[in-house]
Amino acid sequence: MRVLVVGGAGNVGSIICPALETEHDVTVFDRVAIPELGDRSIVADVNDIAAIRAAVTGMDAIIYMPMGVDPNAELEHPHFHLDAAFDVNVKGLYQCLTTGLEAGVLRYIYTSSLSVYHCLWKLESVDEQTPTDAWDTYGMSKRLGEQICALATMQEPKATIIALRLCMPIPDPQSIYLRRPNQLPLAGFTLPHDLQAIFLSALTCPRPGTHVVQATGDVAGTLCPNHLATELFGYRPKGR
Amino acid sequence: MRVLAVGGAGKVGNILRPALEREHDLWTFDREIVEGREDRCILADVNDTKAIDTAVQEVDAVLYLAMGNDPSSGGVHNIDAAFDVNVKGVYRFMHAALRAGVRHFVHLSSLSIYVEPFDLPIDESTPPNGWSTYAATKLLGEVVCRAAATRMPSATILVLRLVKPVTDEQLSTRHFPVFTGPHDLQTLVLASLAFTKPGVHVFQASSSALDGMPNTRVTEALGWKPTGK
Repeated sequence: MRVLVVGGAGNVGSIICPALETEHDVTVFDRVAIPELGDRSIVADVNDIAAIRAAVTGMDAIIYMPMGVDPNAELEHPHFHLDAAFDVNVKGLYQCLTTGLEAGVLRYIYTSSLSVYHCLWKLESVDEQTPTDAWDTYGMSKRLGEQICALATMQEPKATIIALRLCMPIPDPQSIYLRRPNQLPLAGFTLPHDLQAIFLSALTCPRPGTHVVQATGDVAGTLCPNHLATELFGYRPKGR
Repeated sequence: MRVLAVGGAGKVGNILRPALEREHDLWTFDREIVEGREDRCILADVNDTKAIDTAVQEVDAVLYLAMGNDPSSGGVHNIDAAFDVNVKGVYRFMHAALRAGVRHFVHLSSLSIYVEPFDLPIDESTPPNGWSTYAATKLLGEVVCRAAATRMPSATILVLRLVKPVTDEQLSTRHFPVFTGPHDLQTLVLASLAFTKPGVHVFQASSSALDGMPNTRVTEALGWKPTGK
């Protein structure tokens, strides 16, 4: 398939793109260039509607994964990345889906997050039925993104739209201690092999409609199990 | 009560002002000034976090009327204005107001969250299906209201789904199949400000009183009934 990965030069993108390229024809749309990709690296902002429209044309699938974090933000301010989070995770997603559907693209993966929960580490376990309750900027913007996916299905019932709730994607097990030095690692943190498998398998989901699916590295299934991801597209975590 | 009307210098604000001023201490937060009310106007944009933080202090209720209508660049269909005002601005105001202790919100949504022409019957349980920029952003504003209610269960948050608010002049010069008249809009908002039950309450309301677009729920909860004016 011809797959457009929006935000594909970021942390998650750099983990999954090499795996995607073994099976698909990948183009990356990001503010940051990926020189190895040559003309398959489109350098533009997600809110540049003309650039998005040109990029989605002719694609079979679109993976939307920009984070919506402003690298130049003043971190001491409580809303330090409010504009970036909403502009990217809400408005940018809407424009990408609108232009994608107009161009006839029928397969989408929206990278959501278990940040849709206010205090994940206080919950015994979560699945897709657990009501979302985040109110912080990032979590709220991800919730709104999921709502946009649900609306898009009303517009085009033939489209297959997966809103993937990821859990702490990290490059190696050690890095979790750097991020959360005083806490035990969450059971669901997701290592590169599993992360790649999540995206590759989600692209094969045979059932149209919008599906909100948590897909994590939780092998034992104690905190954030993968039942729905297994049922819908056969994903099972390996813990690596 | 001290009521802060966000976007209160616009069309709906102008319709509501006489009634609100009669019963409340009305303040307006808008990019435009209300002539003759300069001492009660905060001139700022809904995405000016600092201005919002100041404006919500000591306020009893926030009335969110801003609708991202920028006539110079596509009206309500300007994508940037729609997202900035109907989504980001709602979140900024809700967030700041909850932190400042405000526990009463009246948010003006729209029946534009449904595809037009309307596929009647429609009531509050009908899933929204609009996909235009205005429709999608108004629905996302409602999602922010619901999230705020989950965050702060003691807050009273009313989401009013209106349809075509019109002025007296518009009403006297032409016929509208569906509309919300100025008098009905005033009584609806006053009743909403007097309603104190915690939680989020979504009501559709219109003056046209079509069978397929009933006011049943808002009448039960607020005692509000349209007069057609």
